[in-house]
Amino acid sequence: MNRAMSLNSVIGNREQLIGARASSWRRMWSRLTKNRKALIGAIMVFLIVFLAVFANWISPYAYQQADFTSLNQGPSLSHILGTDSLGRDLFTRINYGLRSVCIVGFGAEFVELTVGVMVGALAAYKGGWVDNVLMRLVDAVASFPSFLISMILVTMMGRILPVMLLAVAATSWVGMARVVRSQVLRVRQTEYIQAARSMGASSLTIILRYILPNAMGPIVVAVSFGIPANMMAEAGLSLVGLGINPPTPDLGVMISEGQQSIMSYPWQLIGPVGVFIIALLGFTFLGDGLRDMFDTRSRR
Amino acid sequence: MAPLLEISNLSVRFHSDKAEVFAVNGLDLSLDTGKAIAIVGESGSGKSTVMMAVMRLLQSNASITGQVKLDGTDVLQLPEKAMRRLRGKEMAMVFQNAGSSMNPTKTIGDQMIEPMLFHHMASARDARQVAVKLLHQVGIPDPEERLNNYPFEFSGGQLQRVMIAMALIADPKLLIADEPTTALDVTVQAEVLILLKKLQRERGMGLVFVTHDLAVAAQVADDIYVMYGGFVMERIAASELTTHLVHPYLRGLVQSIPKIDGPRTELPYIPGQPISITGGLPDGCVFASRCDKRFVKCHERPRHISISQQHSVSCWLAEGGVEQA
Repeated sequence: MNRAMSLNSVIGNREQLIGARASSWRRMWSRLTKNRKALIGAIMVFLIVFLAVFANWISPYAYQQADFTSLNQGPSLSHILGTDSLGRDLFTRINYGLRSVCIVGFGAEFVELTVGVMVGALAAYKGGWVDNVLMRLVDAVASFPSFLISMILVTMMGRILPVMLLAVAATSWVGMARVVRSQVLRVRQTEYIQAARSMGASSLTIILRYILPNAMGPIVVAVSFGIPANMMAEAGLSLVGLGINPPTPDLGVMISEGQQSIMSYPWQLIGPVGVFIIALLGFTFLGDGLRDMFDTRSRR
Repeated sequence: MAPLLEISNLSVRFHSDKAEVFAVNGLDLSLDTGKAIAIVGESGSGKSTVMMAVMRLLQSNASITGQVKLDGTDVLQLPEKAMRRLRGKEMAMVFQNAGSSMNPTKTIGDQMIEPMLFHHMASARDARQVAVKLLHQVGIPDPEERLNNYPFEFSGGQLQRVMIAMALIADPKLLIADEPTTALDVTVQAEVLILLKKLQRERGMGLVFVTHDLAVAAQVADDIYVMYGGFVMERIAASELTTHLVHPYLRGLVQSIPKIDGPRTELPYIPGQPISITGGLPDGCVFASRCDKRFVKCHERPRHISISQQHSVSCWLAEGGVEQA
């Protein structure tokens, strides 16, 4: 049956063929949507980001609004995920908590990507002692226990969102730098780089228009796995009490509080953890799908 | 008139951790505008290295000495920025594997117009017009539509044509073709050769054709330079290739071309392995160890002996009058 299908697509009419090759983005998109797991991941990611971005509109209450007549409640119509020990609506707090998680997750990844791409690309493109110095720096940073560094940074500079973001990014850029370096090294020795040089392309043109687009696949995958890792790191900091200052809601803080009352009020743990799981799984599934999408060996 | 490309005493050495590689050793070459020459040699003979040195595209561990004059300017002395202005515009290159020499993430239209954009010769829109015209000239059907295709959507022969068109887009004076037909079928190879030759004549370009195939070289070039171990063994006009050749190496090469007709006899070949140019060179002739005409004098490095204006050979045999093949 497979054979018949491929034959059919070969002899299919011209419009179809042209349509199919209309753009590589569309082709990639169709590969992504055909991958069930990646699609589910994308939907989960979309849901999480949607909740975080539109927290003001979606949430039924204000996040600091306490209701002392309804403490420690389970799910009900008025509080769909229940309330905490101060009677604050958990769904509302989760939405706002997602906001900080997403800011740290995406923001740290952005910092990571910028620094990682610059360091990795420079090291690979220049080679020689530049490569050596930069990569030894990367090794040095990678050899520190990253969680400890983040803790020290947050303790020193305060428990506010930008610091959390930097604290998470401070150590995780090294992985990105390594990925970028290996990709650039691979692409750099291809013949089309030589050909581009023979046409008079400058170094900058070669990096921007030849090397980066061809090195993109693994970098995109690394980004999609990096975001949940950053979220985990941020939640980890909160869990040990170094999260964002209250009353700003934070998923990690909520999980650590819920964990203390797990026997008496399990809903206070289930809500935040459930949403956090959705966020992490969503990005991981999506990352898996992207990896399949860019993997040329698994084409067809 | 000064030649378009004049190389004198060019030497290229590669330094690696372990040893020094003597890739090209004192090469002289000249090419007039509107003419075609071929550099023929086995793999490792330094034939591609010569042209990469002309384009200044060798790796940083190469040291180049000598002179490479393009239109009177020594390109080896130019700063990198000035060199970049020459690449693609004054001299362009066609590579062996068109498939891997094209950026897989860009449509061929976007790639083809790049030399024009790099050298600020036209707007993207005008450049696309030129690209369409050129694709038509090299025989790609539906050029306007094909501009939007990616390299993997072409066949090998077509891609080589696209590559040729891309090299020509900025109207270079010198076209260097580095084994452009080696990866192609024999029939497609012939088509591409005829195309290259035709374009070269029409445009009055200088063409340097690098190949390991003597038959191909004889088809395309006016003059043939035969290289071995980084030296030019013999320089000969293509028309004299079968009648006047002198050097035992070239003779061996010609004889080892299989013939389709005639009785099936054992194919003559040149015994031994191509000389290793890593580490050092022998004092005498580099070919001496494989040569069946070797004699005492071969312990000295042979000088270039001129036989006629277009014919010179570096072999002691040529000294005492030419023995005809």
